[in-house]
Amino acid sequence: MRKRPIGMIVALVVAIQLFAPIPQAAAQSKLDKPAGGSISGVVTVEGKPAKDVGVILMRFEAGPFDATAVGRARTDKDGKFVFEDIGQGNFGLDAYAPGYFSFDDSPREGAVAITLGEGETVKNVAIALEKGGAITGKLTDEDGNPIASQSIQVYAKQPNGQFDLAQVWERTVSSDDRGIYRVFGLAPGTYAIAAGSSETERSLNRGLGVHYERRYYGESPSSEGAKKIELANGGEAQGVDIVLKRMADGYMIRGRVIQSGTKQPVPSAFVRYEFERAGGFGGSSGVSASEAGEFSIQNVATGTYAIKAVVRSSNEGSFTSDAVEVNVVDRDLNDVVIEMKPAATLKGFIAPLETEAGLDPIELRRSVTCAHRHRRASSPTARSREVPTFMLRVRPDRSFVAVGVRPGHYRVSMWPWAPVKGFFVARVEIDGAAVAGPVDVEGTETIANVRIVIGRAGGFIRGRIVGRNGEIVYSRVDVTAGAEGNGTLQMVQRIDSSGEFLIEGIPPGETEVKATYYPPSGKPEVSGSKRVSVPAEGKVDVTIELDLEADPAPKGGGL
Amino acid sequence: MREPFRSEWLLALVLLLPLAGVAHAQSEPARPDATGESPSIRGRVVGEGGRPVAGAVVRAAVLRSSGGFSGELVANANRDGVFELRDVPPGFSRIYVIAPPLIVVDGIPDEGARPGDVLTIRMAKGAAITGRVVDENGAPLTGLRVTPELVRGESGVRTSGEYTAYSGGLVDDRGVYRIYELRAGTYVLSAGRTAETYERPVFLSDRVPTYYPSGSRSAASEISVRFGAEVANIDIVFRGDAGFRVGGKVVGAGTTAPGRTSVEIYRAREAESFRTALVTVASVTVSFLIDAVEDGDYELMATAFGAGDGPVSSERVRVKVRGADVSGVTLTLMPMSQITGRVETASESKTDECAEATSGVAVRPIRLADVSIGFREVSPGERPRRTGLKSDGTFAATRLTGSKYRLWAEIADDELFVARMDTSTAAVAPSSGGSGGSTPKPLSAPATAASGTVASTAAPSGVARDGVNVVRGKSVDGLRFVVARGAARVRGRIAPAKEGESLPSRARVCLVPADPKQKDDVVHYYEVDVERDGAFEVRNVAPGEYFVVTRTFPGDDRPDVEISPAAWDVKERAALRAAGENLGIRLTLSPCQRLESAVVTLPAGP
Repeated sequence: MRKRPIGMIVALVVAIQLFAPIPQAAAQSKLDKPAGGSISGVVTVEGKPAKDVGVILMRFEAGPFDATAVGRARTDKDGKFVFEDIGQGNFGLDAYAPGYFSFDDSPREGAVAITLGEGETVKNVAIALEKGGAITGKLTDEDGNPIASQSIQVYAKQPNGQFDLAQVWERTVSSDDRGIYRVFGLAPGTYAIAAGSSETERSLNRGLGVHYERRYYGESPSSEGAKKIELANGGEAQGVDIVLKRMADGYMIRGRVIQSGTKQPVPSAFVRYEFERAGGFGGSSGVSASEAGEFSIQNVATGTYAIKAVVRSSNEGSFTSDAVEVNVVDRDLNDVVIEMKPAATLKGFIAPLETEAGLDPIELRRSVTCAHRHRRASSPTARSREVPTFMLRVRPDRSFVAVGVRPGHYRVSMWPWAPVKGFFVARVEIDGAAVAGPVDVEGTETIANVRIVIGRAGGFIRGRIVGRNGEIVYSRVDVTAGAEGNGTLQMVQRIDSSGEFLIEGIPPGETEVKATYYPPSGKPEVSGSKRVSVPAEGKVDVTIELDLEADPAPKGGGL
Repeated sequence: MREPFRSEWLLALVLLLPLAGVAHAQSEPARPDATGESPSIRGRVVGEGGRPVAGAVVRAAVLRSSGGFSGELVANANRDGVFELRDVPPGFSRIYVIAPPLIVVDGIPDEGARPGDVLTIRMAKGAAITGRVVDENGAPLTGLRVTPELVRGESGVRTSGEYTAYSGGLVDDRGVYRIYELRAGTYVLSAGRTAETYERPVFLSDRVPTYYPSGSRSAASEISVRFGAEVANIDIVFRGDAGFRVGGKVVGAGTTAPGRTSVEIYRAREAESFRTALVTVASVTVSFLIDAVEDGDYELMATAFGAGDGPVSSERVRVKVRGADVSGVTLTLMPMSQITGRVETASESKTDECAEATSGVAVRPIRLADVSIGFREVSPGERPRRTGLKSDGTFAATRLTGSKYRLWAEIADDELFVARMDTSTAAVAPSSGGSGGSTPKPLSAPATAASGTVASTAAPSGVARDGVNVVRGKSVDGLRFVVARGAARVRGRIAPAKEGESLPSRARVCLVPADPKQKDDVVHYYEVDVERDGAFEVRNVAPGEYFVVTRTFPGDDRPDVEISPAAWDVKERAALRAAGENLGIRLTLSPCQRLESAVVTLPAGP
């Protein structure tokens, strides 16, 4: 069962990147993890205890794409499993039995969500698996020749009538050397099957395979016209054959990267191109320019592309470029010129907070983000010009040099998805003086002696969501904690079935905790929030009540 | 351990046509010179019977100084199988061809292709093996994976656990599996031998793999397949033996930022690369446990990928499993090693002889992109790796373990050769005689032609003669390759002793420096593979006098299997030299000489 469109999850991730204020704490530290805590349960297949089923324990940290597998277990002869000494956190459980599915499963969060406090125990978690159905067919070209090694996309009908990519046990299903494919382990329902590539996928995956035009079963280019497949519980649909047409060869975009003033080539710049598709951003890729500043992008599909160049090393100077928009229609483009203009440079180093004597910033050196103050983009090409966020590449000696920095106001934060969590940027200093607010870059200056001071975020919030005037499906609630003032923004991906959540790695100070509920019926979202004071170490409790009959406008304040 | 080949030193009867009076290039092929005027790689993709493979995707990836590949170029073969990769940068590009269910048989050079190269890439439909996997009650074991291991090449020569490329292998909900895109050869198949990942449990990964038909590896039945053929009913009854556990701890995980640590287990007797299990442990969980290990000798190695500068790993630790679990194995993570150095140009001569001979151009610079550094651990089964040069001409061969390594320069410009290989210390303490001790220039400076004596008078340095010994965690710095213009080139083919006899399945042509002073000058020993049709090309040869010798490997048809050059080993080097001296046929190559159509006739019998 899907919780909400995946597009929303992606948007939230991007939003965190764009809005990251300073200072910001990441999720909890993987260091000094407290002991204790256990989860145990049983897996059944068609109602009977299932042995030898793999169960995986995931820990959700900064967001939906930051799930870390922290434990594996295998069911015994009675179908039982146990995870012990796992500490506190937001966990998800998934059971893997090939060919079987769980009605409770969701693509990213697993079958069961559990929020566990320090030393807590959850027993008797039940995961029920059912025998899945299968769909099989053959891919051929227009001459009837089998098409081998072509991936199959499986779309399942959702409660809202839309067809979304289905979760299949075998992550990638491909046709074999005879063109035959077989998808199995499917839940009963209505499906559409497609094969081939979109223009976007072809442009992104140039050279990684032979590309055919996307076609759905039923000779349709879209899911709307696809012939639908009704799959009964454990049933099999055969003869789902698709005829594919080879994509036409793409075109070439050639050009040069030069300095705007001298017109001299910029050697070895990285040329990044983004392309649009109907409705917005279509994807991006890149190539390296030669030492003479020349580049070529090969086998691209027709469409509109925004091309820009960046320098990746201070050895090549500090330049930036605006995106050049080109349209590929029916021929190669051979004279695209990207002009790079001088840009600012940031130099400095990272250091521990005075009170963090044991903190080694070397561990964090790939975790420091420099975020441009957000300006909402109106189009994909405009977005590419913004350079909203970049990672500071901190060297082993803790120093960093950022080149190609455009004018703007930069906030420095920890990267929420960095492997090392539980720290925050306490302050930024330039020439020994703390900077009040963002770092301002006005022109092409070199800002040296930037010192980024990092502290440990040891506080955590233990919370509960309570519904009023209706029942809440907790899997459809997001919780964030943060405020411009204290510089945190954390998202809890999932609330457990009892409405509880845990947010770790919060720096000390006032923090706003906000819960947003996305009702399954398509009703307007409901929000509620509360401000709490987080200690330097330890817990603060919070309860947020969501009124399902209240005015859908976002609420301010708390209860 | 690798099973030894029947390697024979054959006295070469060398008939060089034309032999005398060849001083400079003649009938040059389409390849452009170093000016890069024709930055394309062209060619044709053909299938069985020489039929064109229309629509094949041909991809070129350029080697970078980081050791990785980037800047990928793509072309589609047209209806005649013809392709052209345009705007190819200088240097070597790795070539890939995708046209499933066809697989590449030959035609792609190991070191990659260069602008101007014309390739004929031969493909064939891979073989397929299919069957069912069931438990002892006949129930299908959905989700298991069936894995092939190549045990003999097409001609029957035994392999030793090299990587086997294939597609498919998943057991479906009916218990059916299908493996395809296999090279011709003989395989054993196992069910359940799958790398475990931390993100996703693998079905029955805690059981010992079962080999076809239903036993251990030693009891496995072999299955022979031909290109394009299918072998069916290879059914496996999975035994599900529990085996034993090998466990211990990984020490030193804190030396890198938390990331992921994997522990791999290798069969000791096939220590080259054969992975039988993989576990991943969280950074703070330093203990590991590998299930389902059967009796045998193994090696364990841990590798951590964190947020540090690169991976750290342990040395391989040997363990024996004999009817019981093994615990307490300690794998200590240590930083990996590297070898750094630079490529410089010789300054022995003041003119560019090649350019003057061919175009009248005085001096042309050597391009960084035309030189890359290959390196390989001197152990059986280890595969070569490559790294490009940085903008200042330096290089770094990274991710090395404590071992002995050989390094060499791979040069895309036919006019260049390695004059010598030494260390920075040797540079300031020049060897006596000739011009070997002259001060090299940085690579960015214009290169000059060789005098033709560079190679023959420089005393070989220790690193060139013996390789480089690397201590775990230490960096070996200051290696130096000195390159010069004026390289010669020899193209030709080998021919059987009697007309109508077949050529050996695998052969090499070697040039051995004739000067006794150069008996240990490994840099100036040249050894190249002979193509299936008998053609060979020795490029980037230092001017001088050489013996020509061939090496043959009867029955070996595995071009992917590495064979170390004879010159790397002191005994084999001496034997190679003795073979050349016995034959006494000398080949003198002048600066920039292009010798075409040389014919090396193999003697009759061993």
